[in-house]
Amino acid sequence: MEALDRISGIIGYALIKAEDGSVEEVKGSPSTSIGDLTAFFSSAGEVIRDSLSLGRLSCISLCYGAHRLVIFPFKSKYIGAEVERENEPKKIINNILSSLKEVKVVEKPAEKVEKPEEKPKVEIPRSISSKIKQINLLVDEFGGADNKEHWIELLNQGLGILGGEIIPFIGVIEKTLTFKDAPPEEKEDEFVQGLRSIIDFLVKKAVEEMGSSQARARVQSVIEKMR
Amino acid sequence: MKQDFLKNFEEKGLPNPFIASKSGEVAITQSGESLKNEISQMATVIYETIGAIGDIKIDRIEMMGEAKGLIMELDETSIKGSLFEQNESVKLNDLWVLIRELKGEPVAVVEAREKPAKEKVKVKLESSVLDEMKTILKDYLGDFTERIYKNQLKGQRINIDEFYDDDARRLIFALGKAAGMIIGPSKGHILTNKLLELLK
Repeated sequence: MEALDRISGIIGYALIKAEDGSVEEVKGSPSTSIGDLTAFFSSAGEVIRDSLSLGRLSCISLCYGAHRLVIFPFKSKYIGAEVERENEPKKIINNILSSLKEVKVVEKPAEKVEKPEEKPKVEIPRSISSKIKQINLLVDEFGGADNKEHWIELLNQGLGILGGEIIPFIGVIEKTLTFKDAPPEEKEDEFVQGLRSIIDFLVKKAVEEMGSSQARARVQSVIEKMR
Repeated sequence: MKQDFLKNFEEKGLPNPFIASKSGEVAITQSGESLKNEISQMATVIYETIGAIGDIKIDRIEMMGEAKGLIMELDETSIKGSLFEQNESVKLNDLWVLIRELKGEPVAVVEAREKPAKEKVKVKLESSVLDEMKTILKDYLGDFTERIYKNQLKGQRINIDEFYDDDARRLIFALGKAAGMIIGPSKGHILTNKLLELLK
């Protein structure tokens, strides 16, 4: 569901099979179990729909903390999208559905064929773009050819706990950290700090996993590439 | 008594207002009386689902069907909500305003008088507890402390001026979970326990 990665404002999402409630795909903040929430509440929603005669369910929205999870049916599945609490569920659903219109989903065999939509390039300040570049280079360097998925997962973890307000604006698209929408000007310093702490997080993980000298050498190589 | 109270809200424009307790009791206006069992069943399903998920504090739920919609505010003990027919005249924001008003009314006091043993007393904490938490966090998270603390405070919607024991518990578990991703789950668990000691 890479189309969802490209939508600004989406913090995380899950794709659930309506038939048995199994989680097909989940992406986003590791501190919230979006997959479980979507699976449990889509099934609870069906029970409540039947007992209260609500009719065909178009949306379930749950608010917790500063977030909102919008769950809605899509073909034979449920999509759960986590956004900031202030967002209007209807707008989110329309936004997702119009993005998905552009994407051809082949349900059987399980493989999904996705056609990325063309979007104008997002203009971001240099202070932010250089940090993004550094993060992507670190992931490449630490993960190499064989272990990139693991480092993308660590990057998502780092984003989830350290990203804060930056999360709705950013996403890992085609294994690259990318801005989905231009960040607000007044948030530039805050975003730079957030990205800096994500860099620190990745370097800390590298030291733990490969030892300090190996990690230092790879960080050095990234510094060279940044010049 | 509760029926009269809810009737006021119905007259203000909130369709089928109801209060459902976690234990399954339902107060609803006369016009919604026939739905009492279904509302009770719905509350049971909601609380069981939340129980199965664990440590996420869900405080608001909307379910929109083609024929009817359901909006609810909830806490650990009860759900206050409205079941309405879907039509163009429904203004969701207006209904939410009334639900918030319903939640704010002293009906909780009525419930507390009815079942004093089951009500949990909330304890307001000094904001200095947060400073102590931060000091402990710093020992485990070093430079990451400020961001983790700030993000979890925002994520859990903690109001530092109205800081209660259950907010603190929620915040501590969120901090422990986030910290676990940096320092590893076992150290994260130790940190959680250390933070919980502040509440004793």
